[in-house]
Amino acid sequence: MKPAAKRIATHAGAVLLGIALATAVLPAVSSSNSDDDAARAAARLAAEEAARNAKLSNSSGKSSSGGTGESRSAAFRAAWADLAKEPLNFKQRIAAQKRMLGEWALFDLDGALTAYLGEAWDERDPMYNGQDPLGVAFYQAFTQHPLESWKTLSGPRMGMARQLLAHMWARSVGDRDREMIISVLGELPDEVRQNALAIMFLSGDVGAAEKRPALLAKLTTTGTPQQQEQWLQEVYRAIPQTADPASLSAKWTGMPASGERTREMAAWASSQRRADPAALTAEWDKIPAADRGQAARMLLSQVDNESPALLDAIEKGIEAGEWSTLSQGVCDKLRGFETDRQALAEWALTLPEREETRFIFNLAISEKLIADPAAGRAWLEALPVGSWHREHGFIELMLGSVWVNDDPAAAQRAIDSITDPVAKQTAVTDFYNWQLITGQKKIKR
Amino acid sequence: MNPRSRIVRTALSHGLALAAGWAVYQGAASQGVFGGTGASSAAGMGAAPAKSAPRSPADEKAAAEILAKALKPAGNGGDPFADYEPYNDGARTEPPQTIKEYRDRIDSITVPEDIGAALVALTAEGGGLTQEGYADRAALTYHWLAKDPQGFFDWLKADRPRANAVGIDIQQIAPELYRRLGAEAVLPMIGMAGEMKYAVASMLATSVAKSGDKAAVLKARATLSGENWEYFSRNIGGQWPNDKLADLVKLAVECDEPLMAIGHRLHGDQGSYIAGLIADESLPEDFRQRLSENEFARQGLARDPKVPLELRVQDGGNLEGVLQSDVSRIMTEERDWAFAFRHGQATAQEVLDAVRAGTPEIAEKEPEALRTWVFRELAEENPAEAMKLLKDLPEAQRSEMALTYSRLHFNDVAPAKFLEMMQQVPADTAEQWEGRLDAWNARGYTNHERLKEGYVEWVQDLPPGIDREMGLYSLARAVQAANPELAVKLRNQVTDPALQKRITQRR
Repeated sequence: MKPAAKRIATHAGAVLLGIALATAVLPAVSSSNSDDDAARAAARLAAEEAARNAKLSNSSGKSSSGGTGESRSAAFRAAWADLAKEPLNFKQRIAAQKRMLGEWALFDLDGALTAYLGEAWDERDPMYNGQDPLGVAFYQAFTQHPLESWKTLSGPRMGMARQLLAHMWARSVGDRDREMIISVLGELPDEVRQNALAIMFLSGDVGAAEKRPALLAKLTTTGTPQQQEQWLQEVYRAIPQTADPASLSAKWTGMPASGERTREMAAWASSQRRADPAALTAEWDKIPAADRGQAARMLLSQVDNESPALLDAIEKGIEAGEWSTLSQGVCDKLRGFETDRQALAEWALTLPEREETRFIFNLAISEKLIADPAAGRAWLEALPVGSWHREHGFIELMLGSVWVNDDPAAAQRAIDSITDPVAKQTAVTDFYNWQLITGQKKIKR
Repeated sequence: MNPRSRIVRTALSHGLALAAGWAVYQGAASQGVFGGTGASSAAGMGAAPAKSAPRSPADEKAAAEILAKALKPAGNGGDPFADYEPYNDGARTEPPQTIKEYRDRIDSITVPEDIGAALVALTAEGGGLTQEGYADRAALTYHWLAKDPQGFFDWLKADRPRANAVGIDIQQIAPELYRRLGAEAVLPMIGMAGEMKYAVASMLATSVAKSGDKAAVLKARATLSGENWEYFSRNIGGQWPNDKLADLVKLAVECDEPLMAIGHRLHGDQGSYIAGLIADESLPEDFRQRLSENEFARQGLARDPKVPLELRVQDGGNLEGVLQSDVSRIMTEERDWAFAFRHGQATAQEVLDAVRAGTPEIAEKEPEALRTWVFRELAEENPAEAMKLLKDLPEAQRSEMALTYSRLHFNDVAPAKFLEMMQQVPADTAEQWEGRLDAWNARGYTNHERLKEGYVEWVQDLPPGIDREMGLYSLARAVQAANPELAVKLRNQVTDPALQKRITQRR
């Protein structure tokens, strides 16, 4: 990590300044998320700089740098290379590169992207709340040429540029052109798509609720049925919970398969977010067998760690055999789920012995083991030797020992308690990964 | 491996790396959309700029013009920070003010019965607000907050875009709320603000602090608790006027809140200031003790080169903190040394000399720690050149250090730089092979986390050899949980017998 990156920690003040700036310059898209605020402020500042430069360019008449095509691109490449010879400090260098890239990208995005990719990426500008300061240089180009720039970013061998800049692209286009965002939603990397949907559905607008139905309707006519299901799950998870489950379920159960039906089902699942177990089961019982798989996927997407019926929703997923959904992120909903730890651990013992439910099992017993490792160990030792739950329970005991309790010796004892060779190897590999991820100076292999 | 064969291998692998970079570039260039020709830019790929083709006088002139414009922009003299006041602006004693247009509108607007409906109506037509629209929204928000703050925040919490929209209004009108209604009326709003409590607390704290309003801070201490007090109090110190510093320290003691005093200076001479507080015997002993133990204070002491080294290292954190602070400052403040080194404008020794000159006491007392720290930073820019800083070490130690820092650092660095680093280290011994794999395994996680499919593309394009093998193997480990199908595809490309064996062992 470069020195500049280290400075972030010392610039709490700059973070606050970034937030203040963001709210000051970008009222229309101001958000309660400070990272987003600062990024938007950065984008706005970059756009202002680019506009200033463009104005200067125009006002100074045709200069030798104002050629077209190859000569102009070559001039920018040469200037970019020459910049390295200037004895600038960090702030001056970033500022100069940003200006150059911003102007360059407006007429030769490929050239500017190539230059950007060749520069160090770990620069962190405290002014921009630790965001990539060179990436904001593309704001103007993305705004002026949204479709063309997306085509460039989504081209072959542009994976790194796409990953580094797609968020900036989504912010640039964001609120101005929702149709454009929706048209490429299926091409966006997952986290960028989620961010783009958040920009569309959550950016500042006191009248957002009134405009939401039209926007949701557009989503139901774009993409494949699988994509629509995923997008609608993401949107409904972010917007306020819907109400009146009875009328909602009555509506979608009577509709033919369509995006609109999927939307209604997502709205129904949203209404269950705070339902109690009895109410959820009553709703579930009304669902035709053929719809239960999709209904379970929808429910699992909408419940969270404050859902009274979280465990019931997981059981519905198991009942419907939605193993793939259960294996992707459902376990995280158990973090911070407030319930009796012992009862939760006993519930976990009823989970089917499958790879897809392993992490749900682990998270369900995790807090019990962390809170009292000795009692947790005794509880595990009382389970049948060699049983799936016992073996994987010791893996979780090992994980809690290193990740939370900082007790590698206890982790080793947990590994030693595992009898199944495959489970033991999993534990050894997890221990090794912990050492890598946490940057332990000496690795025990 | 003997030195000669390593040189040959390094040259070969560098050639391959450059070829891979060229291929990436060609792929990008073929996608031209704005009229750029996509011709090669050696500097663009991070290679030595000296290799670019000879330029005609016209080319030189064009490049010089572009460079001159980038270096001398209009307005702020090249410093993007110049237009903005630093965080610790205690020298400014003027309390913040709501802008005049909004103040006037607060006085002139007719307040409707249903303010929420009026706010929604402002944007019902779609599109952005006009200047007048913003003033109306701010004025309506002011009146709702003044009349029924709980009702206002309840309405806000019902749908997040509302809060996202009027957050700016609350910031704008906070000074006016404080000025007209007084601390007594505005402080309870923090507790009503829900997810906006930090924003509301900091905005109100700014007004209170810049006014040097001791009574309001004491009122807050008496009526706020938990996060509400924490968010409010942490924003007091940084905004407090310099000429009333003695009052701030007294308040911090009275509120039993060392952070309030520490926060007065986050930049510049914060360490010296804190050292002064710790040494001030007029302050209560336990308060000074808590100051000296506070993590922010310790970091401040470590950062400030004016503080005696002994205090910086022992009481101000540790040697690593001091090294990090000094090297970071010296490598960015006067000149961007990492950038110069990356582009061949400075040697590793020149950078080390500059750092030594900037922190002579550390250079004298901890020369090897300083050298290692500089190596660590430079290795991410130009690994082969950075290795020259380790030339006096025995080979085994040199390899170990290179592998250790490849594993512990190189976060958020282009994978090609990491590959260059790997190519500086032999894989002759079992220890070197394992250390290399550890580094690849660590980078598999971090690079895939940041670059996703871009990293997958890059790994699959690596030329044959041990690094491609380890790259595929480590990436498969990284994607196993989220994308088992891709993991299988990657593992199927591994041909190294030792790695294949590990795959069967689920390692």
